Amino acid sequence: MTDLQAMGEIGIVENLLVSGRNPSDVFKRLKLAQTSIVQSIVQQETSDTAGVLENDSLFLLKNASVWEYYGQSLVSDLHLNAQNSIPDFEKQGNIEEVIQKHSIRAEKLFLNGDQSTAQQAIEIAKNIAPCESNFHSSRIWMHIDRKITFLKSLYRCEYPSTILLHFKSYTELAELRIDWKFDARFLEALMFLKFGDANKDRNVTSAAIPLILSALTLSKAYGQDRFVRNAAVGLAKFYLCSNMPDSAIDALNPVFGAILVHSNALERGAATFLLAKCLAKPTNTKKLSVDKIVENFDTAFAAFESVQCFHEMSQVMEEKARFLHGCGPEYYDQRNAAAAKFRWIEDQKKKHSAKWKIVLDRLSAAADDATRTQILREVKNAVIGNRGKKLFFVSSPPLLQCLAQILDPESRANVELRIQAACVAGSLAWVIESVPTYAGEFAKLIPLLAHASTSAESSLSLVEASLRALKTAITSSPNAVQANSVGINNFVLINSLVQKLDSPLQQQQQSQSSTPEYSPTQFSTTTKLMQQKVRLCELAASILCDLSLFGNTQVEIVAAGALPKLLSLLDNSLVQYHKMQESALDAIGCIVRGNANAARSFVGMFVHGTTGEERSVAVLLRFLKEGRYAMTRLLAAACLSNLYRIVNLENQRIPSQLLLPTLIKLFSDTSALSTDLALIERSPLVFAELVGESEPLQKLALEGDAISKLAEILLSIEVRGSIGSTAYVSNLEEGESDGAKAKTVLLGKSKNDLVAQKNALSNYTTVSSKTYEKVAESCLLAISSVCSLREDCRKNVIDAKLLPVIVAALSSVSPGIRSAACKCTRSLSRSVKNLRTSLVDAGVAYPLFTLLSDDSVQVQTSASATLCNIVLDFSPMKKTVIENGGVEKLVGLVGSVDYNVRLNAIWALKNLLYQAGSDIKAKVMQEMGWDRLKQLIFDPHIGIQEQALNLLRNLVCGKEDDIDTVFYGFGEAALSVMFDKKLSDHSCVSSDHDGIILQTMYIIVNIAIGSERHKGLIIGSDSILENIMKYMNHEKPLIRLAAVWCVINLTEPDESHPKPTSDRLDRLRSIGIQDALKRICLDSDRDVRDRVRTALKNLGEVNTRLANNLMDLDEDAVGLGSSEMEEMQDLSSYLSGGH
Amino acid sequence: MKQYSDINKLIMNYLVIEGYKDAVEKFASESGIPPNVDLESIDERMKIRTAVQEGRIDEAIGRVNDLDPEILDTNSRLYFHLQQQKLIEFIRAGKITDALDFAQEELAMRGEENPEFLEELEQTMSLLAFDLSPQAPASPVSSLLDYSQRLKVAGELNAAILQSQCQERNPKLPALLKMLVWSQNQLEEKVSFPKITNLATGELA
Repeated sequence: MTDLQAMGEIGIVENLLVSGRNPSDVFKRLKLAQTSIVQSIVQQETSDTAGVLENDSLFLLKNASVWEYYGQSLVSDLHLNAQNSIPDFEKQGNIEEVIQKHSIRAEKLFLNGDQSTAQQAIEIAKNIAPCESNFHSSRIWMHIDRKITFLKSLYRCEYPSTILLHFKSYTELAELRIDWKFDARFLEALMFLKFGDANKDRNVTSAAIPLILSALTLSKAYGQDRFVRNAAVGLAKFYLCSNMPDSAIDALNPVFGAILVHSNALERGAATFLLAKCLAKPTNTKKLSVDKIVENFDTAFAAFESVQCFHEMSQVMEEKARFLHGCGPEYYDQRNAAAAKFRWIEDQKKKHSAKWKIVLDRLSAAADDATRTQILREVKNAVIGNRGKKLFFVSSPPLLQCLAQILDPESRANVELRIQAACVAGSLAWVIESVPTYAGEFAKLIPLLAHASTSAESSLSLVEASLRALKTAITSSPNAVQANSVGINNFVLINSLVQKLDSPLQQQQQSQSSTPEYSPTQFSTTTKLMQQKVRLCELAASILCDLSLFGNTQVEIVAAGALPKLLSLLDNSLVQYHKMQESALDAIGCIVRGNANAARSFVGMFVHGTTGEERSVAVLLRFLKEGRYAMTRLLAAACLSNLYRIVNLENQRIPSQLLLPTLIKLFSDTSALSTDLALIERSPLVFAELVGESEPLQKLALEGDAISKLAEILLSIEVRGSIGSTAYVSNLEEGESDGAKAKTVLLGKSKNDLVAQKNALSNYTTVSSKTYEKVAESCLLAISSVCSLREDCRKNVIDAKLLPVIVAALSSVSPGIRSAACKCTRSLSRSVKNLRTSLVDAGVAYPLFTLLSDDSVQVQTSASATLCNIVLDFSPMKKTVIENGGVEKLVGLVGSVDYNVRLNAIWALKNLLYQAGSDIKAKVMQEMGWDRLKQLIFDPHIGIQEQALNLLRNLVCGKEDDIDTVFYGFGEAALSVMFDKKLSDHSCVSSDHDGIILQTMYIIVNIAIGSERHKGLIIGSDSILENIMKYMNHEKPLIRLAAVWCVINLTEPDESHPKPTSDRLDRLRSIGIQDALKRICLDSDRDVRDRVRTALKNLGEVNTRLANNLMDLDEDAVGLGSSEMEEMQDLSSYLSGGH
Repeated sequence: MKQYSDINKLIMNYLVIEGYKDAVEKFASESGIPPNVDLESIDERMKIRTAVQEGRIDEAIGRVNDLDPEILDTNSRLYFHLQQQKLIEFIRAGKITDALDFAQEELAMRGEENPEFLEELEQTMSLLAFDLSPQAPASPVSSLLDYSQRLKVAGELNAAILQSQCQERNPKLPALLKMLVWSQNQLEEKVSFPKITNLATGELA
């Protein structure tokens, strides 16, 4: 029956077509016909096979004609082709195979650039397939369909959110089959590489690497050649990003042939383009002729062109033009052609911005102020609130030049035009940080804006607009402004800003007193003026607040008299202008921060307001207690906290009874997560600074439930999500089959990267998640502060289940979060118990360790400081670090340019060597080299010297072999010289130097434990012995103790070598060591006293009355314990390690 | 006297926030209570509100930006709603090509920057898919075309402007009256007391 039905349907199609009906009706009909034909084929209902075939070919012809009719000749070709292959249908008959065939063809067609035909093939498969989506056969076409949709949106560079949507629906299905899953994983990596490329964001790019590696491993294990190819390309891409063209070519080489033979246009294009880029790099060693390289570019272009990948096409042309540019004049024609092509493609891409280009052209052509004002207004209304437009306009040098020209004081532009220009500049300033290339050009406007805001001739509106622009520029990109602010006269700017802080109230009172009678019009103008003045105060205060963070400006601002004026803005009569008062509070807080002089003078100030005299601190307390808005209370708390930490507030209970509870309350209200993020972002930071160095306050914070409140924020969905999610990782593991489990070492390593990278995905360009990142960062900082000193706080942090969050945060995409997480780990690792248990279980070592090579110096610093504790001898994580190349990495960091990173690195190495075995010692020295150690011992920075000496001290501690190694490597003579220099250098007698002396003395102590030869070095040097005598009288007990230990170790009775021992005793007696010892046998320090007795006993002074009394001494501890005991004393300094 | 001036302040507060400029002026000269804001800003605020209510979104945006450029630069949700309203106005006017162009150029970007707007964006876009002629059956998203949607956006914008001028978003008087009614009802269940039966005249029962 169906064949008849099909014939009928085809007939209807014909009719519809002829009668000019709506295309959708025609296609609907066509579909019906198709369905019935396919049914008839599959079910073979008809006895007459020839009839079916006839119907089918009739249908296909009809279909072809329909498509032709609607202008799709490609599609009609397809139908004609399909008609030719009809016997296949007859042979197979199996519906699943038919679907598969079409689906696969669709994928092939798509990847080879024939998108429309591919779509048709999918349609066919879709129509044949049963409706229920859970049929296996349906999944096939659906999978291909979704994949194509995803790839299309990826290659068309649609908005990331759209791409992600498609990706999501694609992976949902891809999870069902293992081969699809590999594919999906690779495509995900590809997506990251693309995102990273598009945004020039190395973080996103490198997030793809673990994915590629895991895909590569899995594919090799499963013999999936195609994925191996893809992964190799991905790796090559990464190498190229890292400027290693040779490695990239090596990665590409084994698969390149296979790619050209087996793969589709896109892969071919990508691989060839990659190869061309590698070869074009001047650093590559395979020197090919220019023509050969150009050929590669062209092949790549052709491949991309066949798929109409505009983004790729323009990239190829851009690279080609760039490459040819460097090849000399004979290639200039070719270069120009490539550049022209590139521009053409770019123009195609930028259809939308064309409209605004015209506006810009009009602007530069406009001559009179009125037209320019009107155009700038148009631009202003386009950019305000609109990030995309801002990015477009800020990247337009002609516009910026035009603004500069208008704002130039020499120009004769009228006030209205200047105001509009300042407004546009102010709105563009929001995004300057995202366009570093144009930040310099933009920064040229800043002196002009500063001038407009200070100039006496400017109208209030112009002053307001320029101040607002300045504020936005400084707030959104302080670095860019600071780096480019050469043109600003700081003194003039600050003074003019301070002048603007005159209380608007006084101005109003003055103007009112002249007109006692109320008159509405008069009043209206005064209120308007008043409100404008209030806005100026607000802007000036917030600019001062931002400026006070730069270098020495705090002092200049105070000198200009800002503090009394800011204080007068806090008068109760101005309470309705809370935003201005908040700015003033913020500015005060920033100006007194860490500035004892400013803080002292501020505490002594009074405000003479409408309600009489009020002391400055009382004003702040009024805001803290009665502030109507949470932000006002927070800013008052920040001021008070900054004051409290440097000057004595009269009321000692302010921090504990007012500040701390207010702050905890401010971040306890988690509903602010959806209403007031700024509050939740800032209050933990103020809290962190308040409790950071105060043990009593940390205790109170614990009792006030601060840790659990912070945990609540960190564990909330939004904030946790901005750190990274674990759900994805667990999915991945569940899906793995046993074969893949074997490879989990690799996956295990990349797990956190996966989290980070998932996270990168969700954070991609979204504005709000950036704010959640900030919240996460400040909460982590608060956690690290609150548990820095007390074990019970640390326990509370662990109990609050925060460790998994902290570990995830170690691999976050945000450098701020990574650094804050390091600080948390560091605070937690100050507890020996945590070092041995929780931190190990949570697996902090590896992620922490990878942060040593982080891009951000800030992160490197925190990570290296944290590692100092992790590598201590009793920490089980020491092994992980060493096994993963920790020694190499730390030695590498010792050569860093950043002082703190260097210091922490050598500190960590020192800790690593503490009671280490000879193998580790050998490894460290092999990496570092003795010359390097010598350099470090004489480093210009005293802190580095001290750590280097301490490292040497740990090297010579232990077995005699260890001392031998040092004698051989460092050189005996060099050691003597070094001791002499370090101990006899009187040029800088300061307490800074005591650390150096102490460490040097203990090197001697440790050497003196050694063999006769080792002892000989000490005893044979007059200057060392002199110094030992000298330091017995040092003011620091620790140094005196070290000196006494030297004597003990030199005089230790040795049964096997009686002769040398007695020789040494004679030598020591001859320099009068006994008298020296006796002089300090009544030392104020107990340890020193005890050790002096031992030394005297060793020297044969047993008959002294003193020595008789001290038989209670623990004599066993002497030999080996000499170093150990001292080490334990020093442990607290290890544990607080680093900077 | 004190009580009177308090009530006058409440009334002034109501008139200012609701934007009755002429009334504010009259009331100020009669009661001697200064309005605390300049009348011009009330006027401007009302012009902006009317513009949105009448569907002239571009005009409203231009005026807000002249008033205070920070309002829309710092309030992405409000800006999104204004853009959304602009799209709705295009659709209402049947300018489908303009609507599509505008959506591609502007709204898709907004959704990308702020995923939380995606849902609203999708709803708005689906307006394009429905038949909007009056005789067609109501679609699930047709409420977006209602006048109330304009009022909603106008209210949101008004509140943002008020906030930027350090004023309350809502007048105090209605809230006080609501509270009065509520507490009277609560009280009534427990005790008998002289209840205010007529809020306008303050007549007691």
